[in-house]
Amino acid sequence: MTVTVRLFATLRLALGRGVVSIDTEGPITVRALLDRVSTAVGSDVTPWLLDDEGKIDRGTMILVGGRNILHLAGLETAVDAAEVAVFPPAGGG
Amino acid sequence: MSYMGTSLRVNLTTGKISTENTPLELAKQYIGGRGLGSRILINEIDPKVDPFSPDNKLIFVTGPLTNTTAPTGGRYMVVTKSPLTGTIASSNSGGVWGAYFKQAGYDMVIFEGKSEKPVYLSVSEEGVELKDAGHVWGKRVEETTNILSAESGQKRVSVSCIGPAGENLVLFASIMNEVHRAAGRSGVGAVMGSKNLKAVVTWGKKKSPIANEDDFREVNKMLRTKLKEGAITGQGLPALGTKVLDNIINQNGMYPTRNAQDVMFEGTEKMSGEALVEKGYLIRNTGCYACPIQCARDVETPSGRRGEGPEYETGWAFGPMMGIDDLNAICDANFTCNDLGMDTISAGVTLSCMMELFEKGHIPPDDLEKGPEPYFGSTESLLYYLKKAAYREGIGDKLALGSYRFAEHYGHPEYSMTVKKQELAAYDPRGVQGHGLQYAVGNRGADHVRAYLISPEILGVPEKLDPQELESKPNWAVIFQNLTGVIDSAGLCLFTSFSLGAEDYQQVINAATGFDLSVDELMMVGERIWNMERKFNQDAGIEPSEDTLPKRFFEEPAKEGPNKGKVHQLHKLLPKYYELRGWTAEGRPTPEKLAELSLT
Repeated sequence: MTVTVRLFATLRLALGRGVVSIDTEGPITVRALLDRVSTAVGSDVTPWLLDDEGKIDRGTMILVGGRNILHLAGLETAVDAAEVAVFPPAGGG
Repeated sequence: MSYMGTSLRVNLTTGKISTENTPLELAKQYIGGRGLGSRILINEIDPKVDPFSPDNKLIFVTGPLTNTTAPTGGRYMVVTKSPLTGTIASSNSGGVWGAYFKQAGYDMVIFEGKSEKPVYLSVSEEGVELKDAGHVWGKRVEETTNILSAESGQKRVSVSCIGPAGENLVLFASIMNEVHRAAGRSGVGAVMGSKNLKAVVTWGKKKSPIANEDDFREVNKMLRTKLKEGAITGQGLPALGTKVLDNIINQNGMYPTRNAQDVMFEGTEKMSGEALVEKGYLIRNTGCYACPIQCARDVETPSGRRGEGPEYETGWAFGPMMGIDDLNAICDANFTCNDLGMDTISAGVTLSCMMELFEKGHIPPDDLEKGPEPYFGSTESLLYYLKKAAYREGIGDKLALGSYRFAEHYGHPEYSMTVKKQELAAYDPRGVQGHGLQYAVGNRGADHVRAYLISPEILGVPEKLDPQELESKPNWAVIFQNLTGVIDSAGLCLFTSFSLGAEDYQQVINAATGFDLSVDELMMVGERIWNMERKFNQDAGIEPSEDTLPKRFFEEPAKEGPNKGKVHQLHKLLPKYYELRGWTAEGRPTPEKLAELSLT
């Protein structure tokens, strides 16, 4: 299937693009999807999203079909939706 | 001890100006700002006073960290009884006004009575004087600011003023400083207008005396490092400002759209914070006094207007809430609304209410007096009816009363997205249960800055909570309400709390003031402030039955997105919240709780 990955906030501004389409032949985890995104954009996106130990950074938001992976299986969450949204830490109000 | 020690009292009826000692005997219990200002207001007015009566008072009050090098130490509060809600009002603003006012030598100014003619107050080290404001009465905020700044003869001067909306007693009129900074909510500008007070102009050079200079320097260094290293305060807010939230909140399925009939907006990409940068509107980042975050944005639109903003809440109110995705029109509406001196949230949500009422056939076309038909998506209506409201012309006379009274007039108050008659902010309660709870129990009506539970429920700071989980939320609401009371009273910006915690505030407040407050004692200050406000509201006639949400959020499930099918579950949250507060099951502070907090 094709997964549309939408990049937002400072990550999108830094890369100069907001949408990456990833074709997968089988099930894919968020961790593997991020690797594919990095390859596609020619730049490692994980420093924007993960801490030094490779864990999801405080404030990073990765939504699979609108659901935050922190409430699913984290980076091992299987992507079961056509759209994934990726936000580096951001906020306001 | 970082207070100037002197406050002003201005009787606008007699013109008498007096100085008095700032009641520092109350400072340890209420700190300053929202806490101290509210304490004094409550001591001095009848809770049942008509907000527009000369007997209501209007207090501009700083905190002990205002005019210091503490990060974001430039805030001030305007405290009064609200004409919109009938509750206590305390509206916060940044910019430089708070710092400059303290540099003139004062902690606070209490206005009482009503001037016979329009006046403004000039406050500096050289003197304090009421001056004729006849020549600026009727003028908008930017022109007023320019004229009064020039009259001061100072280059480094700050003007806090009302626009036409405040003069015309629009119930959601704001008080504006530095043209674009707003003490926005609850109609504090209308109270100022009712007193024929146009502006407070201030400048000075005095420093705030710091109790423990060495400690203060070290603590501030540590706090600034935390703010710089925090991803939100160090990266997200500086780069995109608050408007970074457009896509976040939309993707989380809780972006109130078309007067909260929908929870996601199809036009978000076109009007988002990212679009503001990518379309070239952003000129540069800017910010308030002593602020290392610098989240404000200097913007120029294709139509040639330049100024600050729009902030996230404003962009939402003039955008998705009205079904509008035209970023240029949204920016124009932001500038216009600020220049007229109105709260952008209440203004936008009142117009979105009008749009729903019109589309459903509840507003007779004749009432529009040949104005544009207010369909969702109509940018023409947005700009047209904003001005009508500010000048109270035609149907604008009813819009000026806010969405609740407007919808009630047309027989359908259920289309007003308000709590206690104040309009909701940009987060749909169906998608975020804790934040919905804190809307419902807000002491100044619906409000997003008294307990910003979006931080843990959506942004994951300080930890990520499931936004639909119920059990933990009442406790989070209590903690956030109490901590926010402390921040609002210290003179700091709430955004610092994305990277700082209670111990950080304890250290910086103690170093500046010389107090020896423990973290528990500091949090009790916040609890005291919350209970004091609640007690005032109940004495004013605001019943606990008003701790609720528009019924839409209980009866109309979210139509799409991750919260599809969800409604808000206030009935499951409210009893626990009252219990944790130590109140009766009906939501009233008990005598024991009030005594514990020294509020009897």
